Amino acid sequence: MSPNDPQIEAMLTRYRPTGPPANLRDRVLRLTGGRRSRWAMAVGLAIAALLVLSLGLDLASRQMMQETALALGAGRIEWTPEAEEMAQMLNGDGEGRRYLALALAAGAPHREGFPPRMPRIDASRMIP
Amino acid sequence: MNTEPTAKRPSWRRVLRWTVLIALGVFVVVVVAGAVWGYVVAGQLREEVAKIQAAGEPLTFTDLDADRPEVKEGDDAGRYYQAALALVRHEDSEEIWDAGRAYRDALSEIPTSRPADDVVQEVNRLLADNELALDMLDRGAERSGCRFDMGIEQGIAVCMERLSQARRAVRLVSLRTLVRASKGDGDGATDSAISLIRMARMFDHHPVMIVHLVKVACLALASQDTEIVLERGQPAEASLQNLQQVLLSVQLGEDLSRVALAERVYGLQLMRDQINPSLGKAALADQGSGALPERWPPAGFWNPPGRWMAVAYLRELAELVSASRQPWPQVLGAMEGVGSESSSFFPGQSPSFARAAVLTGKTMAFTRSALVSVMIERYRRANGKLPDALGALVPTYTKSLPLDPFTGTDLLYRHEEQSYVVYSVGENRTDDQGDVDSKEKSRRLIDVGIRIHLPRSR
Repeated sequence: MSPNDPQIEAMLTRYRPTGPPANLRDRVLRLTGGRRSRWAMAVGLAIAALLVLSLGLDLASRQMMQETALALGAGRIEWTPEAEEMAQMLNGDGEGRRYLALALAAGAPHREGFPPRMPRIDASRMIP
Repeated sequence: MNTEPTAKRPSWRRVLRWTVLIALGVFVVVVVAGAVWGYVVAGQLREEVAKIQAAGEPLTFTDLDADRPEVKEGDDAGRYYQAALALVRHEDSEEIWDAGRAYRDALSEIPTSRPADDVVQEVNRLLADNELALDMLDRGAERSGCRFDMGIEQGIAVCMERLSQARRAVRLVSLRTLVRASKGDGDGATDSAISLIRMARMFDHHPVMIVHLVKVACLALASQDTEIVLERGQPAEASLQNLQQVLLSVQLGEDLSRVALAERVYGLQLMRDQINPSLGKAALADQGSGALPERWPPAGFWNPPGRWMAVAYLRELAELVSASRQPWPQVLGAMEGVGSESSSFFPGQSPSFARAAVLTGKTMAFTRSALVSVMIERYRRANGKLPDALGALVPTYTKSLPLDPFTGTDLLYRHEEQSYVVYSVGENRTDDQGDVDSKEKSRRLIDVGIRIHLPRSR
């Protein structure tokens, strides 16, 4: 230690830095962090809004396509008593009803790719 | 005071952050753009369908049938044709074709020759094997109406199968005509030619383009056969009158408009089946049927690009329908440019509509030339000489002469010492002096018609 060291030490003891105010860090971080979070929130909201809009447009366009399909003659299923009777003959379960619904929806039961595999027919129902 | 420098974030984290942000941005843009595009084209598609509806044009095959005359069951040739196609032996179609060509070449030669013995034997076997089918076709020809269904409503595979059988049947009847003509059985040959012309009605129900083109080919073949019948058969006056009546009933020109409508209905049917969710793959998979058959348009068609293609297709077909209603020959010009591959719903698969119109025009010219040739033959027999001009046939043999579909004026006629020719100027709209026989030139560049060699020249 040099001869002046005691003086320096005394000076340092007298002028010890106290540092910034304790709340400065929080204030600075709150300021910058807040800006970032508002920006992120705005972007997030915009994205969410766009996605919701897209979903709405998609649903609307699906609806329009359905209307177009109806105009073209699709989906006009008339579930008549005869159809119900036929469904009962085809076992009357979900499979039989679905088969018949598909056949009716198709308009022509032997369309390309149709009929789907015929459900097993319970012969006892067909014989009085 | 805290003088320590702030630690910099590592660059890979910044890169990662921007990559994620950009990917997210692209994803959002794609989703939003897809949804907007899908919405816009779905609206356009609905609008196109509404336009068709508003114009009172058919949207379904049932609509298309609405203007067809009712046919009583007893008058329906369809049942006979259906039986005939089931009875036609599954011979190699090319074999029948080759036999027919050999016969035709031999009969067309001047002086005429006989086909080789092995060809004759083969043809006799073919005709004997298919006797029942031919009988059914003749019975069908006698019926006044025809509701034969080529099956396009059940898909192109079913339709192609029936078309293939129908082509075999057409060739067999044509072959029988040639055989009868070669034997000098003029009346029998004429009856056979009449059967073939009447068979063309098979293709009138739901006449999509491919079906129409087979009809065109059928009638072209029948016209060629008429040429042989007139030259070799020497049919009686009554047979010629019948043949004339049947040829007069061929109304190929008006078919184009119906073809355009049927083609569009077929496209709409495909669209309908794609849209209808109850026909979805999942529903079929539930039934244990496995994968759907391959079809066009492919799965996922109803995504925006598919809808856009459908809109382009319907706009193209609207042009086609409009063009097909033009009178001849204006329809030929109107059809040009319709059906460009760029906007087609079936890229590379749909035939050129303009080309189909030209083929239809050629066959119209062919059948009309055959019709006029029959009248000339009747005139020649009655007067002992050929008419100087076609006008001499009016009004004794016809009220009015058929027109050249390529010009809208009378067909042309030239007669020489040993032959005469009735012809249309054809696709090039130029009178090539009745050159209907030239094999060297492109078929597009010559006249279209029928040359009959007089008996003394054979």
